[in-house]
Amino acid sequence: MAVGMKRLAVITLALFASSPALARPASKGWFAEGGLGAVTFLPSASGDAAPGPALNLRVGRDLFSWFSLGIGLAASSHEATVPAPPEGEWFQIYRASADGRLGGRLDRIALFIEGGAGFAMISSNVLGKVMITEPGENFSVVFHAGAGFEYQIENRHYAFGLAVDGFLLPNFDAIRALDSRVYLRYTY
Amino acid sequence: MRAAIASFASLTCSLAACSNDPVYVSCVPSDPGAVSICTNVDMRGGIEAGVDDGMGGLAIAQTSLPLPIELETMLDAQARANRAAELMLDVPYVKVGDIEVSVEWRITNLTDQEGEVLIQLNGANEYWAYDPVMAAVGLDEDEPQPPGLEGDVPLHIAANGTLTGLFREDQLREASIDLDQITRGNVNPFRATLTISKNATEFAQVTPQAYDANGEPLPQDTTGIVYPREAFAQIVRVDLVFKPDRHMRLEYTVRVRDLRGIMHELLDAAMVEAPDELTVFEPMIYVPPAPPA
Repeated sequence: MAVGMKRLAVITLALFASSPALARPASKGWFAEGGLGAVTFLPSASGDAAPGPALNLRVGRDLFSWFSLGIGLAASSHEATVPAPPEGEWFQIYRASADGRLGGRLDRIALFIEGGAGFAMISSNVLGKVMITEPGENFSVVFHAGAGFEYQIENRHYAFGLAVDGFLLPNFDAIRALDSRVYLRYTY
Repeated sequence: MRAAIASFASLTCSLAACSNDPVYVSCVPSDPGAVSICTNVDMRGGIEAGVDDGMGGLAIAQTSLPLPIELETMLDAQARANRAAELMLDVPYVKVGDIEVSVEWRITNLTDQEGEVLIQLNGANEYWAYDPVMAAVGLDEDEPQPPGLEGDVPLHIAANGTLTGLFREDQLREASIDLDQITRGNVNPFRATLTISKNATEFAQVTPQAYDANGEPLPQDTTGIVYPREAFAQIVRVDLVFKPDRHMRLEYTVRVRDLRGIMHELLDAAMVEAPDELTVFEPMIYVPPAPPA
């Protein structure tokens, strides 16, 4: 009997510990995120474009505690490593997309998966030499999906996050890349 | 949908300042089935020289790349005609400052011996083409031969080695102005190429070179015609002369920053897909007045 009571107490304690009432408070509603990171191309484009720094901005709204919608802008800069000449030339990829994010919180840690679609623009035709872009082609549809986690600090408006998204540019010879970033989130 | 994409494009462009983004015109056709925009190049977009030419010398190679420039709009043509009437001068369609051009090149030594190579840059604007070989017509072989517009510096290259280099934007700007000075301005090629004119705001036309009975050049006077910078003609065709001392290969790409938006968006592919939308320039070959025989 005493053993049974002890088990019940442990289970109750565990349930309390994971209940939202004891989780670190976090705001919910409109939010904005700003992130820095890197974009790394996957084969077959990895030989023609080097990894480069990336900047991400995202705004959106938490519709539920477990689902949010957002729109994001991202820019990354890369050295073209196509057969010379040209040599040491850089190009930029700009992306704009709408996305949805599904997730849940465990106290101060939130885990999520996300996915979306939008448009991307490449700044030059330097990858045309390896047939990644076609003549006159600067725009592509972009699809992206990924996952990440957030750490909620004591101030309920702020959280830090780490995320990795893979994206696909079907019009640019279906090149694929990974966008990894750390970001700061502010929820109003 | 098209309007939405256009709006998105213009918004993105304005955010990203993409009017300043470079485009690359390569001798490798952007469509595998198309013809290269460059002259004299092989299937891989390069030229080779330095082999025995069969006459006891070494073969040199020349190649040209005409820039794919779209047709002038009626509005631009009218504005240009008005400006030409005001200045009482020919105002070119493609002016210095409309585009910024640079040329990236790579030379491969195909032998197992170290060697030297010269690469010379010439070109044509919409009025005149400058070729030092033609400019030397009538000159004594012992006389200094007319220079190229840029380059012609001996470069050392290791056995089986590669060497990359660049004719910078400011060098192409200088070459454009030198070409205009030589052709429309009648300036001596040596003087034009040995003076720095890339920041010049104007140049004065001088009388064509004349010679006395002994073949000595006479002084040139100004004609009173002054070309302002807004009437300087830009090089629209890049010519390279490749002079290695052994078997070597040259590949190059022309990089253009299209500040005015006059390059055809399809670039070299426009030759096949939209040839009617390209401006065909037919410059005359510059031949200076020859001294009396």
